[in-house]
Amino acid sequence: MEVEKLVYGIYPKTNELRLHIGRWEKGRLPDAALNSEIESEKKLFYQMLNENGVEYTDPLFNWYDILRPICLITDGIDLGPLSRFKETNSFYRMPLINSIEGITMDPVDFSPLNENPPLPLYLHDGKYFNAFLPSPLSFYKMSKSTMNYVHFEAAIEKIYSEILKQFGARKAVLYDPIPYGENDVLDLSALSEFQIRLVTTGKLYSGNIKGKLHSIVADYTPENFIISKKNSVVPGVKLIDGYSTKMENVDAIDKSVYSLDADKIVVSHREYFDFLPRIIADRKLELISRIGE
Amino acid sequence: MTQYLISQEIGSFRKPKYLSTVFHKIYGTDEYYKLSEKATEETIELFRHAGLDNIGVGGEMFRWEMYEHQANRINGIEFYGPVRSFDNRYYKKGSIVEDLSIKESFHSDELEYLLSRDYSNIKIPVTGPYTMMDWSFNEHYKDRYETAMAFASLLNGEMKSLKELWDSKYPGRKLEIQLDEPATTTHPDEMQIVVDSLNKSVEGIQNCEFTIHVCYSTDYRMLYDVMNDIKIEGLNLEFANRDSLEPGTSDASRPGYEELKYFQQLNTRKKFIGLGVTDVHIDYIEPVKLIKDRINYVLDIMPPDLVRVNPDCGLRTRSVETGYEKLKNMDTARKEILKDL
Repeated sequence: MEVEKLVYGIYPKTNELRLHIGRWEKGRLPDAALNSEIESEKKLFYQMLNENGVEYTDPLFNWYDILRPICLITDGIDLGPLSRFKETNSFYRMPLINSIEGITMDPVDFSPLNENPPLPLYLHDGKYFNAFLPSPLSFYKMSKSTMNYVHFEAAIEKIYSEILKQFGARKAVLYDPIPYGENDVLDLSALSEFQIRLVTTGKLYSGNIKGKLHSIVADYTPENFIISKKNSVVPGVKLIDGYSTKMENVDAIDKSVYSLDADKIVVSHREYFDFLPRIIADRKLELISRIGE
Repeated sequence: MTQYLISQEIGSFRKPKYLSTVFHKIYGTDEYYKLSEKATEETIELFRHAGLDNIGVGGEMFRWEMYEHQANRINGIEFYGPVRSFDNRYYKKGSIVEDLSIKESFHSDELEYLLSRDYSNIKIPVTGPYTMMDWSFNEHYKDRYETAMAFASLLNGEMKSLKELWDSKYPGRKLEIQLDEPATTTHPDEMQIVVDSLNKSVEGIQNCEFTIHVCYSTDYRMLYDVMNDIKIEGLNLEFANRDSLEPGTSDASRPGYEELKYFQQLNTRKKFIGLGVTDVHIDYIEPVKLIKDRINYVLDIMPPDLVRVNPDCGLRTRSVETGYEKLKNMDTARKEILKDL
């Protein structure tokens, strides 16, 4: 069996970067200087994962939450009240969606933003790089919108497509932090020209995902795995806990992985690592790199 | 005589630089106590100037952060590093690695100081058992219920100690304790843990006014559904963050407060609401007129003896000047309304 390892989403920052951002927030560090610090840290992160052959997204050190930069560069979405991110002690600004007209800023080049560290959206580098985007379904559920879901989905996927093309990105991780309802349908056919790894949360129902994606990475249950296999080229499972400081055992994970019926499999983590102290996230990252070795 | 529209703060206030810049270096030393006391005194003076009836503990100058302050004083918790709460704000989230026990009292030093200065119009914020559980990593206890109840036992002991201290100065007088429980409604299927752990925390403590503070909940109705089962007298909640900045007293103008109709329908035990009337996460100073509209809208739903006014949450994220202006406008607004009541 071939094992592909995937790390996605916001990764905890080093103390040094936190201090730089603190100085930037107080106006003591210019945008360009902060951008350069963020870029250096991203490069170190990529280097570590490239050496270990792990698929990764940008660690999003310059994203205050997983929706905000997309909102800030999209015409028709405003930032709303501070809201709790799921069941955590972390917060995000709830998007207020009126219409989606297009991108107002170049996501590729350096550019200051209000209420968020500066662009670019990503540092596109390395053969294992994936762009990160919030899945339209969770984006919608975490927002207040005057648009209906079908219109929103079509419009935001057009924006996503434009972003990916501007970055020349071939691969993207779309993340769904909010569990699916039985009647939810995610249709990513507008992004079919890209290799999409969809990371989901909770129970999947058979009609939730329309069409076949490169990979659906789901919380492991036999039922979820069947759906993941049916709708993916490469099925995926989340086996490392992003909410616990307790370290998993790599042998136990290997045992679980090799007990699954697949030629190739994606192994990833539950929730992105920004909910862990950096030192624990680093240990879990190291553990992920050893899976299937 | 019944007092209407009592004004109070919620907890934290911006620390002066002479304290914030050295806090961690001097924590627990004589210098820490000297500077914390000085900052408390100055903040109380500012609260009085702004017109507050209840001065809390003077802005929580003895504490760095609501979870960390208590967790630092408990055995069985290990810290691996900070975890982000929003933007570039972090808190030290601990991991429970063995049975919990008290290392040292959480707030006795603070209360001793306030009593030594003869302050009696105080309200002590104590981080509640459910939030302590929810904000910790658990590597030790069987489940979340057991973890919350372990924290509840510790808090029960702590609050009994605080009450003893209070009684030594003001025997027979009620002590106000606010259980800070921002995590309360984050797991809808765990409301019974919230109820049981809060009740365990206050068990056997007489002559105290217990309240809870909750903020940034996605749905307060979950809390309202169980509030009659919790042994508390009031709920100090955030509302302004979810409200419009436009003036008016119609439902459309006051979307942040409309849910209080549901609260009042269920409020058979006459619990009071500490009404968040100013947003602590924006620098905009809400005008007196807007705050009056917010209070008046609620006074159409509930009687004035069941309404207190406060900021949404602690004002520590705002500058001293902005915090003061917000409190001042809050006080002016409620005084203007009181004239007409």
